[in-house]
Amino acid sequence: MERFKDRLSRLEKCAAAVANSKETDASKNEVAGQVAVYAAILLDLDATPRPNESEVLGPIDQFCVLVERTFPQPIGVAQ
Amino acid sequence: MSIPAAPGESLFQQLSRSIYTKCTDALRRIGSLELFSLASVVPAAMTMIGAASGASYGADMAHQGHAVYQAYLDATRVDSLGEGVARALTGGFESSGVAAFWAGGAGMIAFPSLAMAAKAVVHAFDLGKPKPDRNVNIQIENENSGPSM
Repeated sequence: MERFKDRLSRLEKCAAAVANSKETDASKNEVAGQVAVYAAILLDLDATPRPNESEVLGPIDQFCVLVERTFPQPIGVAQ
Repeated sequence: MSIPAAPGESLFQQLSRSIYTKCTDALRRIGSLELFSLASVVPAAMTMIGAASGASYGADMAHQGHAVYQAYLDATRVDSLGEGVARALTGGFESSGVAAFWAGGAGMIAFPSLAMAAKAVVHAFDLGKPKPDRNVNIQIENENSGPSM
């Protein structure tokens, strides 16, 4: 998973941020499913690169931006 | 195939779903049938978990869960959708990393939150599966747990 290591790390932090948020259980469940699919996509593309994969990577990055802006983490806190 | 917003949903939940839908559409465009199939059914499975979380995990719930799952499969009308998902969750992907991911493999130690998310999805599909084996198991358990005297 070398090629997408940074994306997986970012997604991991986003998953933790949502899990620790005050979203409803229904929301957390739904987003957990989305996150799991995103992770599976990254792992699959890592092993099997595709010519138009940026189309898929775009929304995954957008999701991370959404989470980071919705649940900003305090600066300087250990990860 | 967008899932309509329900009352009481946060803006975050709705935006996240909208992004997810875009990603699912992109999977179809780039021609990854396995990933598209997986991405298509996971939301229904996770909604089912939500429905089950407030209820007992009894046989009725398992049956109801299966009905939801089956209805979703029928509605989406993608050939081999069920097969795609089954293979995806049981290591049918060519890349071993994906199979290990769903199985909670050691490679995911660095990503505990992602591993938990995978576990939740696998659990959701377990809830949705028909349970012929489970009934057999229950019968066996009942026979074994007869009068202890």
